[in-house]
Formats: sequence, C-alpha cells, structure tokens
Amino acid sequence: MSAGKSARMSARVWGAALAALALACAAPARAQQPDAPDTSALGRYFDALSDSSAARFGGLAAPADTAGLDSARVYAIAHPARWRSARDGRHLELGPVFDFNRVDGPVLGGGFSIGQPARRLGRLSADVADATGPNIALGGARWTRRLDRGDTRWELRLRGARKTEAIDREQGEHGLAAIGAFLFGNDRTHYLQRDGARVRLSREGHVLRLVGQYRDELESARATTATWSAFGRRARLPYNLPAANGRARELAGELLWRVPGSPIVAQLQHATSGEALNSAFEYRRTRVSAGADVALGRTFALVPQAEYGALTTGFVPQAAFFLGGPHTLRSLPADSLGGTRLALARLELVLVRDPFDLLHLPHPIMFPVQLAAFAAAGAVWGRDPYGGPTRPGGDWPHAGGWRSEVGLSLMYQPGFPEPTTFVRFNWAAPVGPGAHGSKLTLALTRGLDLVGVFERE
Amino acid sequence: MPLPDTPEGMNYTMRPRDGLPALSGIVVTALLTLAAPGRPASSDPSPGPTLAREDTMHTSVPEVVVHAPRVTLDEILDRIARGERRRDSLLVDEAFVATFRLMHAKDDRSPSTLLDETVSQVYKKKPRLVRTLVLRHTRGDLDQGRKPRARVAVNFRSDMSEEIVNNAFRPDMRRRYRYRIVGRDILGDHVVYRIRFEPKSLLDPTLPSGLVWVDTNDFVILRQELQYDRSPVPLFVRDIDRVVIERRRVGDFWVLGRVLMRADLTVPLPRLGKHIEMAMLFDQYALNRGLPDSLFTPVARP
Repeated sequence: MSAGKSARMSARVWGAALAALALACAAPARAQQPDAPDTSALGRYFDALSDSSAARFGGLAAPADTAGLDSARVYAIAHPARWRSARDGRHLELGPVFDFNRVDGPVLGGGFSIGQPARRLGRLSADVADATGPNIALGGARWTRRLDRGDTRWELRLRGARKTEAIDREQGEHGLAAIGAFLFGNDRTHYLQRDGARVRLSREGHVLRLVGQYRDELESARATTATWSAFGRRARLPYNLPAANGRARELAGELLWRVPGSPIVAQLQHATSGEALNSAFEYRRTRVSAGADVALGRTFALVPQAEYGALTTGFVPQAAFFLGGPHTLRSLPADSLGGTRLALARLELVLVRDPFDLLHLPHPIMFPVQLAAFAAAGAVWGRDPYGGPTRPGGDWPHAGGWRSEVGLSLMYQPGFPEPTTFVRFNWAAPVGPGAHGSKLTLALTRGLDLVGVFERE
Repeated sequence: MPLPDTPEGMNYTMRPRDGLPALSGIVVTALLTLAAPGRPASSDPSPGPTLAREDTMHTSVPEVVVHAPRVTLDEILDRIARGERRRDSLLVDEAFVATFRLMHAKDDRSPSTLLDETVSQVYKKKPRLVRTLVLRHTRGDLDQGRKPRARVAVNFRSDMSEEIVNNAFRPDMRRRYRYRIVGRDILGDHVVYRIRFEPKSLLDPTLPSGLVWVDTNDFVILRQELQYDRSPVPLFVRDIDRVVIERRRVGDFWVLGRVLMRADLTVPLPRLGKHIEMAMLFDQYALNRGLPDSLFTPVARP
C-alpha cells in the first residue's frame, strides 16, 4: 500500500472515529428524558400499574445505575473491540458423531461447525465418520446462509456429502431408532447411500414457505452388515431393501402454507427426475398433506391430518411411499408396506392438561404428561418396492386395501428440539376384517407430523 | 324501565355504574330528610321534626341514543395493527441505553441477588443499521473471585417495531390467537381497551396468553402481561411467572420501557438456586435525531 493511500485511509478512519465520538458525546445530552411525571389520568393509571409491577419484582425492576455511562460510551466508541470476544462471529463448535444402523454398524466420528447462518460468511459445518460395518468413510460439508428481510427469511443451503439415508423419504427423526437398533436390534428402516451435492433455496414468511432444490447424487444399494445388538438380540430385519443404483439428478419444490382464516397447514411437495436432467431415473413424485390443531376449550386439542402421495411416470424403490410406523399407521411395523400411491388420514384427540394434575395425584413436576386417543386409516397401492404383486387401485385404492386402527398415546412434551416435539408411547390396535394383535411403539414425533414445520417458529 | 320524563321512544336502563345523576328527585328528597332530622324550617315555626324539601337539586339527564355502530373487535385489532405500523413508520432512528439484568434466588425465602448485568448503548437506523456498544458488564455474587468467563454478548435487531410488544397483534399472527375485550377504561380524554388473547393451538406451549392495554387515541399498545399455561420446557423450567412488558411515552412515541420476567426451575441448580429473574430496562431514548451512517461502521483502530 502506498504511503498516500495509507494516509488517506488513516484520515478517513480518524474522521469516522471523531464523528462517532462527537455523536456519542452529544447523544446522551440530547436524549429525550421521559417528560416530567405525567399527571394526566392516563399517566397516573399506567404509573400505578408500573409501580405495582416494580413492587412485585423488587430489585429486578430497579432502574440501572447511570453513573459513569457517559464516559463509558465515549470509551466504547473509541474501543469497539473491548467487549468483543475472540470467538465473536465465529462460534466454533466441535462435536462427536455417533450413529448405529444395520447397514453401517456403529458409526464413529467427529465434526465441527463455525459461524452463524445470519452472518456475512454464513455457517459452515462438516463431519467425517467411519462406518465400521462396511469400513467406509461417511461425512460431508454443509454451508448455510440466511437473510432476514422484515418478516421474510431467505436461506441458501449447499451440501456435498456421502451419507447413508432412509429409503422412505417421509421417515422422520432417527435418534430414537438408532438407540433401539443398537440396544435391541429394532431397526426396520431401509437404507441407501447417497454421494453428491445438493443446493436448496427457501423463502419463508409467516404464512408461506417456498423451497426449490436441486440435487445431483449417486444413489446405491446397501447391504446389512450388523445383525447384532448390545443386548444380544439379532436384528429384527436381516435384509435391507435394495435401492436402484444410478445417478439421480432431481429438481424438487415445496410449498408450505397456512390456509387463511383456518387453523389448517397444508403442504405440497413435488420432485421430478428424468432424461431432461440427465438423470438415470425417470419419475414424478408428488405428495400433498394437510393438518390442523383445533383447541376444544383449554383442555382438549383435536388434531386431524391427512396425506396423499403419488409416484408416476417411472418407478424406483427410493421414491416409493411406505406405510407403517409411528409417522403413518402405528399398528403396522415401520415401513412394512410400500407402493407407488399412498393415502392416510388420522384423527387425534389430545388431553393437553396433565391427567395427574387433574386427578390431584403426585408426580414429578418435570414430567407432565398428556394423553391422546387416535383413529387412523391408510393404504398403499400400485407397484410394490418389496417385489410383491401390484396392489390394485387407480387414483384411490381398492376397497379392500384400506387398513384402519385405533389407539392411545401417553405423551411427554420436552419443548425441544421443537416446541411441539413429543416423546410418545403408542398403543395401537388394527380394526376391521382379519385384524389381530396390537402394537406398542416409542417414537419422537411432532404434533402435526404429516406436514412440515415452519422453521422460524 | 322507561322513566316518565324521558323523551318518547327513548329507553333508559339504570345500571350500577350510572350512579347519582339517575336518582330521581323523590329519592334525593328522602335522603335529605334523613340527613337533616332536626333542622328547623323557616316556613314552619312549630317545634319538632319537620320535613325539609329540597327542590333545587332536581336533575334530569337527557338520554342520547348512539346510532353509530360499536367498533367491532376485528376493527379494533385492525386499528392496533395500523397504529403499530404507523408508530414504526414514524421512527427513523433511535438511540437508547439497554440494561439486561439477570438475578437468582436459592429458594422461596431467599432474596434475589444479581447474577449478571450488562448495560449497552444501542443505535438503530432504518433501513437496517444497528450498533450495540457494551458500556458496563457487572458480574454478580456467583462469579466473584472466579476466573472471568466468556464475555456476554447482547445483540439487538435493527427493527424498531418492538415485536415483543405487539407480536400477538401482528396481522400474520391473528390466526393463531383468540381475542376478547375484557374492559374499557376512560382516563381523561383517553379510552383504554383491555384485550385478552389466548393461543388457538394447545399443542404449542411456547405461545403465551396475555392481556394488553391499548390507547384508542392512536391504537398503540401501552402495556402487556403474558402468562404461559404450561412450562415451555418442563424438564428445566417449572413455571414462568407473569411476564410484564411496559411501554412509556418519550416525546410523541410510546417506546419499550421495561420487560420483567420470573421463572421457577424444576430442580434447584447448585449455586444458582431455584428462581431465575430477568429484566430488560430501556432508558435514555433519543428518537429521530438524525444519526449519521458513520456511527454504524465500526471504527478500526489505527
């Protein structure tokens, strides 16, 4: 840098500093102090309320000590880095990676993330782990940049990774399933491997979320490598549904919408893959779902939900729809049925207040529970990804294709990772001709688990 | 009950709040009689009790039939949204001193003591400029004599709409709450509405219910009290006591003055105790004073 340029920069810096200092000195003197005590009826009324609050909260509500703030302000302007931690703006976080499923076996590794999505450079996170079963390295890197403009949030995500993922795209949370698989061999999910990149752009407001995504990933089948579990039980499902091998180039979109004037949240998802995108697979996958959370007084909530999915044009197992498990029909084993079309409806009545409280029974304060009763009906039809015969049906299934159930849930709402996350113990029993047996499941779900969630909530 | 001296066709219903002006002359007379039993009447020289007749206090209040339709709750909510938007639109820049204070108490009987206090100078300017300068950071008794931990960071958004005050009354949030008017107070030449709101969803415990005070002169929220029906995080927090959010008048604007909150933990934490209290205090406002853009560019140390 030349001496002249350096001098000009220095002059600019000093100029800005002096302007800021002058303003800092002037600002407090010109601050609009609250006018003399408002003696109007309005002023007296709110002063009385304010005094009442001050008395209730005691020292918490005491005004801050302003002594020395003027000089502190001048000093802070001149030394902006005084309170800045070395970690400010970077927020480096390190963490381990643990996972278990029957195709990877134990997955052990570590990862980091740095930055914040809303900052200029966004947030970068990466992880690498060893899948000890097949002895392959898994991991990847993700970058997220977020921009809030008024009530609208824009978000760009880039991902390059090699991951083991569930074939069932609607499968939700994986943590409890991994624990169940590790301890008891209770892993009914089918997996495939995806190597490649994806880019996702979303725009979210209070009413609407629009998402566009493109991915270019090599999809390949995986085989079971771990049939053991910590307590010695063999894996419940010794095989893994083979995915079709090939490079998937897919364009996908999503619309999540709060229907005006109603408590309904609706979601439309569509993904297309084909020759036009130079993809190895040809399919159109569409899924529509809707749900509502209706309060009945302050004690009960009625939660109706429904979804419909269709896979058209072509077929690959990793684009099929699956039925069974906590997020669809709870009386069926997870993902036990598959097809190219799916229809599901569920009605749930939740007792929101803690029944122990209502009955005045003692119980731990930190574990308030809720009860729910539910009834559901669903069907999958069309080509079977498991290789069975095609189930009859057109836009809707054959009359005999429906399966129904009723059940009860005991739920605990921890408040995280999402406010409406529930840990649920479900008891579900099939109803209808030939129905027999009932099923107990433990799952981590959301209140409205068939529709997406607005991420800003 | 129609009164005989009311104009034809107008009904008058006596309500407790209507008070003294509605008393008829005969009642006044009777009251005066009881109040002055031994008072001599100049017109009657005979001794003993006399009947005093007061005929100068007869009052007749003409009735007024209000034909204008009462403002509906929806209209009030619309006006609140407009009033808040208008308030926001008139603010170009603001500077204030914000104090973020945390206190704790070991149990119900112990007094609260300071845990942490950060005093910051905040500058905001539309459209998206914001700068926060920490002026003072005070650590409480818990950290005295200990190695300093990571320094506290208090960040403010550039937005001046004070969403913490009007969140439940934003147009996009109207679908998520039920509202009802619980009272109207006439304070001088102001009418203040008290409006209660409750979340429609019972599944989301993070949505509070509450009560707001709205001045109908400019339809700006002046005060808000929030309650949570259930703990949003029951594993750690037993109960969040009433949250109080107060605005106060500075010049022509109502601005955030104070946010007070108290929470009980499910399990007393070592050294921290069972109660956590949090306050945000806002003071020394300077509004629309033409803050220069250079103030928002952190000055590099030469």
